Amino acid sequence: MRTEDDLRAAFAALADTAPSPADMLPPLSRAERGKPRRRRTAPVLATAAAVAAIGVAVPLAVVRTHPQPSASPPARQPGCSMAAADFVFFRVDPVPGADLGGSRGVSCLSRGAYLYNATGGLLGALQVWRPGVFDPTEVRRGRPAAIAGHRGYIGTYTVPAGQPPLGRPVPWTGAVAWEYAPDAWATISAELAHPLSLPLALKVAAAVHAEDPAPLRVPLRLSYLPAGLAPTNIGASPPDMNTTFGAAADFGFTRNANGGCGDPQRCGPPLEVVAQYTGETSLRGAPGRQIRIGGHGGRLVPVVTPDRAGRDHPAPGIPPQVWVQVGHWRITVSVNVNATDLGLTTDDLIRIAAGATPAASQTDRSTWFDARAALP
Amino acid sequence: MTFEEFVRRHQARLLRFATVLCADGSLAEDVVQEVLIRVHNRWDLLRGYERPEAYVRKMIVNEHLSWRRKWSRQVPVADIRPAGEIPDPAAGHADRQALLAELARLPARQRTALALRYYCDLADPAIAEVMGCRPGAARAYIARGLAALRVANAAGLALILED
Repeated sequence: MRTEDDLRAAFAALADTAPSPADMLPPLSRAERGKPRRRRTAPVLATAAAVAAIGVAVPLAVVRTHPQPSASPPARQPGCSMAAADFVFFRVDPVPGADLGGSRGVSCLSRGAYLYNATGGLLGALQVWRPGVFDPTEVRRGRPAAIAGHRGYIGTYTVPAGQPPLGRPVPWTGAVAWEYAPDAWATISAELAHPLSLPLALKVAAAVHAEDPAPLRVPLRLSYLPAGLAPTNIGASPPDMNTTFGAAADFGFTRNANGGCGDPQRCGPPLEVVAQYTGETSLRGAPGRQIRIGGHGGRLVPVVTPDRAGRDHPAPGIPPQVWVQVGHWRITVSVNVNATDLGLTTDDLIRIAAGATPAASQTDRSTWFDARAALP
Repeated sequence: MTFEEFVRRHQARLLRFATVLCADGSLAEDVVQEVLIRVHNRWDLLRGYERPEAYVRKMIVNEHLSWRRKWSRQVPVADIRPAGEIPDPAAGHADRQALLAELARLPARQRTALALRYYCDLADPAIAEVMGCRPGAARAYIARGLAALRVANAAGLALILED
């Protein structure tokens, strides 16, 4: 049995690992001080981060056994090359007792979202995989079961997952997997330490309507992309009036056919474009150097952050993050720090941002764009 | 005091506090930076506070607990089970690492309450004030956290049983 002194010592040791103040905030002193913000801007980055979870080789689970992690990853990793036509759209109905973190409403394959209980505790994760990218070999060793009206399995399944911004492998075990369309799988997973109950997992599974023919609508349209980039994910989040988080759109792109997903630690969209409704009309307070560029009647004012926190883009050849304010939307264009071979420059990112058009309304989805037409 | 003076004076302490809360130095940097950006924007108001650092600490707690950040950044960590017992003179260090790993897996509110109690040495009412909850809820977070970590605490276990 541990003691409270052990806990105090552990906290003290943890505090000793804190980053050095010298490592962060260099741009802050240059930032223009503005009026108090009405809405958070952090969700831009948070959304970008969350979006990076899309396409993760993830885990499933419910089972309380303790399987040994796989010695090797599944033969098929979530490939990232795809055309917009490959997307399968789905929606998730509300499920009492399982809050789908930040991802209510429509989104597209492959889309992942964490599941929380009523008190915010992590339950597990839902992932709907694009056709052809999920290797079901391991899940087929589980117990066959009809799940959400489809052929599925219940059992243990460990996937050595890990994806920026998570940054490190996250071996979870899985218990529920079902084939919602030919060679297209969805999974509900949980961490070993926080197993999700099977009945709840099945309720979540039943709430996923992956065959919904309604096309995904996103509140952002891009008119420029550097040659050779293919989309890895397209997602949209409606506004959450309870938390004042605005609507968001998130796009991921890759130049590599495998999207860098061969190594789970290096997965994630090499290029991300995220739009977040902030309710603000300027980039006041955003760190970095402001540069006015053309387009959109001169409304665009990108903020180039050379070294946000001094560590976001430490690798040579990685262009800085570009922030752009268009109307009440903040658009962020950034390159994954691991994507050293993407070959994009700051000018590329600015051109992408300059060609971005957000929806006229964050609440009226009729003003949003059909995802299949949202890319150049 | 200027904002720059405030940051110079308190940044290291805030980073340490955020690291304890987040159990992740990188996330702590993000949390502190986001908070300081907002503090920067509101400094004309906050500079008049008697103890602005206490208010900023509360902002850090709120930022840490924000659901979207949790959704995007919470990192589940697998149990690592060594194949066998290996005598190790650094057993104490290993135990602490194990405790830190379990701490990182706690629900954010439990971890926050434990940090405020055992790192900041705050009493229940102060913890409740920082977390925006009732003292009873703060005690419950602490009790559940201690129970999950298997830390001996008779009062905490009693609370769990009451629930």
